[in-house]
Amino acid sequence: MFFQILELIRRYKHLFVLALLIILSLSLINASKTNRINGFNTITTSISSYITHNVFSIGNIGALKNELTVLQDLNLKLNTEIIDTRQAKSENAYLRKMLSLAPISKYDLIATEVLSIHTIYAENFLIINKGYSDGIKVGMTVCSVFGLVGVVEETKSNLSIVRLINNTDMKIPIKLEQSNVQGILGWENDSYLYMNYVPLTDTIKLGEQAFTSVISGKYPPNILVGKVVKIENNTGTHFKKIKIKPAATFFDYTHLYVVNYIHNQQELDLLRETEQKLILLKQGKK
Amino acid sequence: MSGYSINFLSTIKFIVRHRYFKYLIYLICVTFLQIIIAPLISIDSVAPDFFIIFVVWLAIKEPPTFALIVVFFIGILSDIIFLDVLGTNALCKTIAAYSATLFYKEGEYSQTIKKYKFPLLVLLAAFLHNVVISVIYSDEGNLDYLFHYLKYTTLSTLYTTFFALFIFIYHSIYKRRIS
Repeated sequence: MFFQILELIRRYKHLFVLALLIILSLSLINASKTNRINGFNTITTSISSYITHNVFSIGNIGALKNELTVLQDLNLKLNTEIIDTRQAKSENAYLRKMLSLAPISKYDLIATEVLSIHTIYAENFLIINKGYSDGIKVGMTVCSVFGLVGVVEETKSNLSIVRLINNTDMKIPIKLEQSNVQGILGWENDSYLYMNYVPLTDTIKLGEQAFTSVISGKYPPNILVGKVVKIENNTGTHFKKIKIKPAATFFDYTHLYVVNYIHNQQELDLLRETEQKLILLKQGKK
Repeated sequence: MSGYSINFLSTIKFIVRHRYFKYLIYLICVTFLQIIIAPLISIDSVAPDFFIIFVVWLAIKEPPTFALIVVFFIGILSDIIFLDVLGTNALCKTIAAYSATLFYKEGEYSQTIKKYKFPLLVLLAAFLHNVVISVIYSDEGNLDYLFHYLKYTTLSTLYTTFFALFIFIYHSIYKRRIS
């Protein structure tokens, strides 16, 4: 047996020498930690991973645990990235909508970004990143691509506070699109707006859209507010109550437009003063 | 002359007459050609590889085991001279030499070098050498680079073979005339 092996080596000694020299060369190449030999590194990595996966399939348990931890971390990161991507996608779609709205709007629009949303004494407000230095004035209407959102309450140089339509003090004069019924819209602490004291004789259809009224001195006319979702007949009265789903879902705002429009500054000031007086009067009575 | 001087001279004569010394001289000449002449005759930065011609010549002249070992050291020398990654030329030249040793037949050197076999062997060896070196130095995943490199080395292979033709012509025509 030993002599047979010796004979085999003697016969194929050039092959043994070749194998030895190739191993020596590969060792020398591998020893040089340079990035010039990318191809060599790729091949050696591929071969070693192939051998690891196919020959030593059980593998090292410690290494597998480490791999699992790394993969879990990676999975978490990827999930976060997916969420970010989805958010970016929806934001992108919203901004695209905003961009498509801007050219067709008859009003001059100022694009803004919502910084924060606040509730002060059960009143809802939000703060936008534009102020009087950007041309924003108190009383200007704020809307999203879907519809009316609120009114600018106060402005600073680069910030403004917006009173949202889901405030008990907000009264929005509206007109229904098809029936031409006009009325005042208010909020009653839920996800809808309500139009009260609509005469029973008025024919209103479900799904009718409500726009800001032309007679409103506060809001620019024909801005979408919402659509009729329910008509309630108040028993024992001559009026019905119209439930309107707001076009812009409450608090779901990221980017908004301020409508650069004030119908009549004097009228607006007068309205505000009256409002203030009434509020003070209410507080005094309480 | 003293006995010491006679011994020294006879040792020198022995060394000079020995074939290994001749190979060393040839190697120095080839290295000179590769360093000085090859860049001068390069066409668009494509230069012939005189080491390959020498390697093939050695592989058909000497027994495979000896030839492979010598070629390996020539490769190491080449790596050092051309500042390549140590082992790359040794590997490529060993593989190239092995391809040539497959056609080695004892005592048939003069027949092999006179025939077309020699330039064809150089072509094969140079091609193998260049392919292996292209793969080693290829950019990871960049096939464009690999194709570019292969194209470049194909030209180098042909250029090297062109010079191998001179040796073939020299042996087949000139030496035949002398004999």
